[in-house]
Amino acid sequence: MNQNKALNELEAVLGALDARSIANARQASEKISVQYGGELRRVVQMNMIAYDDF
Amino acid sequence: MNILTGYRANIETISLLSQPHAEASGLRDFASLKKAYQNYMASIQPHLPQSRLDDIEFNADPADLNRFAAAFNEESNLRDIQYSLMTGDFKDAPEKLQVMKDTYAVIQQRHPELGLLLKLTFNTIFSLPSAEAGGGSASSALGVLWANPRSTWREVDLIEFFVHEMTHNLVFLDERRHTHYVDLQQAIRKENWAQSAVLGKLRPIDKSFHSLLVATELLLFREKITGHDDAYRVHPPSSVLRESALRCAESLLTLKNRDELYRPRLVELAVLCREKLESLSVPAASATKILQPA
Repeated sequence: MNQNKALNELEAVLGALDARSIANARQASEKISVQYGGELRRVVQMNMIAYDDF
Repeated sequence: MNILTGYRANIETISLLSQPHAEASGLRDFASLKKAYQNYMASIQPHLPQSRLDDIEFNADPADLNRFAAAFNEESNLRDIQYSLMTGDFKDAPEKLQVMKDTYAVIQQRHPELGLLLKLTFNTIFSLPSAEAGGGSASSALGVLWANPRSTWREVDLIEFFVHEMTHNLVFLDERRHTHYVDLQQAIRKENWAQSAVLGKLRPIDKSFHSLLVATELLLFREKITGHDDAYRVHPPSSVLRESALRCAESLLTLKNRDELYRPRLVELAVLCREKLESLSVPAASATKILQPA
């Protein structure tokens, strides 16, 4: 996909956002913030060990 | 995730999460979405410096680097492998950042869709040394990429590094949209660990799940764009990676307690990975290395 097409697709997505999905995503994100920040101290560090290092 | 679930689906996830943080004029184009996304990141990560550029910021400011390192070095009871970023050693940072900047320019030119998704997903790239790792992502620093590229990496390896880390970030964002786990306290217990796709060892399910998505995305990227040349240095040859990823999918999907651990979205993505992996036609391995961490 060329850049213009990628930008057009992005704008098409922005034009199609619906309030219910936005509200659901917001609620889920808040739930995750609580999970990450709470007792679990869930800081997930995804580091990359290069294959060549083995 | 870009190829696995599609460019549009990932843009939608970022847009849905960012929309409540948009300026009064709303989300209209890339610039307004990038600004809203940065506002969202600032709201969930107030401990981090927040770039306001409408492109990736390559940050070499020592004060900022110390704050990024603190976020990456933060302790977690879900961490099974210890890594540390060395603060105070900034001498190689400009050169390594230049390597990343050059690779990013190549991606934008050759793979515009991937380039645009990188431009949106990452707000900042920084470099600090580490004895253990070539870079990484952290749930405490979404939109931030830590890069510690080796001098032996070729251009194709550096591109795979971008794909790898972008996948981690997009999975974290997908989790913020859909939720992936019922109870991560359960994930600490070793009986709930699953085999990972890249290191090939038992790891907490969140690490294994991420590794499955990273491995699948890399294989799809090779299949679609760079080919299954087995001389890759950052990741294993395709045949080895595919077999390991299939074992990971199996391990995750057959975990005894999966219904107490996974939300439907996690299962949906793991099944999708397995289907894509099964459909790949990967040449037989010529490499002899086995996937075991040192």
